[in-house]
Amino acid sequence: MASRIALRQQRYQSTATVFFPLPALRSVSLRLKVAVGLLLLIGLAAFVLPNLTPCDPAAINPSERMLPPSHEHPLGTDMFGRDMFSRVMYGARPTFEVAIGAVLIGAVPGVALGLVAGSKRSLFDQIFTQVVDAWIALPGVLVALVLAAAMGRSLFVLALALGISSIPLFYRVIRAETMRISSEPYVEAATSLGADRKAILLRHVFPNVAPSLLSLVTISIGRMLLATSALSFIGLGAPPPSPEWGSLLAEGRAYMETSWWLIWYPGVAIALTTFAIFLFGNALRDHHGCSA
Amino acid sequence: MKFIYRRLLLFVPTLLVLSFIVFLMLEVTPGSAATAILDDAASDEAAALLCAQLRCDQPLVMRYIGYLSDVLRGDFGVSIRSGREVISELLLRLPPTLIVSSGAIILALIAGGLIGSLAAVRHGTRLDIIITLFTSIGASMPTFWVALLLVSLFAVRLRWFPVFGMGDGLAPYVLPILAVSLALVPGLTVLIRSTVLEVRQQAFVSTAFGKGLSRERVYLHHILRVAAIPIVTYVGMQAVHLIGTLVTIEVLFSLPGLGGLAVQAALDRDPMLLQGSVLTIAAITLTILLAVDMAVMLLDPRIIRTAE
Repeated sequence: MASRIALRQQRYQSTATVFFPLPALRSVSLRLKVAVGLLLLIGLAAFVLPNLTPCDPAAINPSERMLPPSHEHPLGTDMFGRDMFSRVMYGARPTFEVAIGAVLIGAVPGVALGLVAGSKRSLFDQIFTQVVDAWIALPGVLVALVLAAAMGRSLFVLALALGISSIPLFYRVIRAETMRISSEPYVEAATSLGADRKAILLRHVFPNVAPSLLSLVTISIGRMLLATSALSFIGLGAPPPSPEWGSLLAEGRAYMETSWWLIWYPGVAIALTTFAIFLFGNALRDHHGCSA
Repeated sequence: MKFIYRRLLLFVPTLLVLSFIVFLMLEVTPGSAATAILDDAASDEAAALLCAQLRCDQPLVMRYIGYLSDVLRGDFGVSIRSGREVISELLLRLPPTLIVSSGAIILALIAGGLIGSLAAVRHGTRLDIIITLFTSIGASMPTFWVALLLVSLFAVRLRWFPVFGMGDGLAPYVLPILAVSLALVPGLTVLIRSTVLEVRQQAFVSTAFGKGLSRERVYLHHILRVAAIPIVTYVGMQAVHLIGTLVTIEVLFSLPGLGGLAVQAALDRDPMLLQGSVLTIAAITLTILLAVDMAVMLLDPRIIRTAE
């Protein structure tokens, strides 16, 4: 029994790990600086630039269809003559909204349940752990499929589906961390002093779980970003003309033989953003020296 | 052995819980799939047929038990779009999914094993740095995008493989297998590199070298055997991710697999087909998890010994 739990624990804990032994960025503070710099740049392009420039991502210009990258259109134009640079820039916002929304939907219940289940061995813990064992085998894509059939296709449904399927991950990691911290001497001391369970959980356990939660949340945002674009690529996101990065790639797919820039730049945007987020989460983890 | 049987037995309740979760999702989602589809069903006949299949006059638990007993007898219902039995549809779509998923796991293990071992043997050299750099970048790239790039290079430019699922034999499977395996390779490479480095430091490896065994023999028989345990565990924990990727890749390549079927059922709002395909894919995922646990136990007898 003990070893089965150990086996499982190992599996779920390492799920939260993204390996990044970048030799060139061995120093943690340098990695943090590079990641924050990249994220600031991306944030600027996603949330500030679209408000300042007058460019319209939906402006159709039939005389400028399928233009390769040029000085005027740095990332070229698509089949309707729309400027790809502004489309990619505007695409960042819905992608981020879904990814962050999904992490919130998954993390809040997952963390709450994990804290409660990990603090005391109870019937609830045993039952829920069994449920989670089955739940974790349900890929987010399948949840997204079912919800899309029931509630229609939209970015909210996408975030909801990805969030629901990530609850088990947060539950697992937080439960394991809570169990580890609950056996620390200072928690035992607080218990023996007569502090009630709720106060111990909130004042002693949670603050010590927070660092691993922070890096888990960061890395999850990166994962959700990848999943969001993949799902909207196969048609489960908002219907066109949503400028979400995955939809941009899906549109460009039909013209890939002649116009490479249509499938090149939205993908670069996804990869670069995910890279920055993973690097940030990785540096945070090493900075706090925590295992999850 | 007892432990292995226990793990095998545990598969049944887990599968039951999973089937109930899938069933619940279809039933209780706001404007549940079934009723939503019933509302815009084309004809009264179709609505009546669907209603009979979904047992809409019975309470939820009875409906679940009814569906479950039908499934156990091999009856997954009838697709409202094509009018065909869901089970025959599922059996037709199963082989491509199995070919791609098993091919991708095997290819990822071979590629990750070779590249990771190479990085470990050449530890600290320029080659090692290049490999780790590429794995970090690889982990950040969406798999479907890599697949698109593969298609534009190998199918459109070089014309080595058919574009998007056309052609006979195994040719249409090459690019999908390559694409899905690339979802696993970065993580596997880094894991194998670090494990081999760690195992190489241990005393029994020095002993093996001291006995005068050849380097190949020590690597294959001593180091890789021990390193295999975390590697197999990693494949297990990535199984869910792998299946998710598989669905996307099947749609991208228009492969006639289960993932494509499930997506089509969702977009067509075909409840019985959706439920059947989602359940089958989830069962495949659970089976991979079970197989991985079995493999770990066979590789590492200590787990069984401590359990008994």
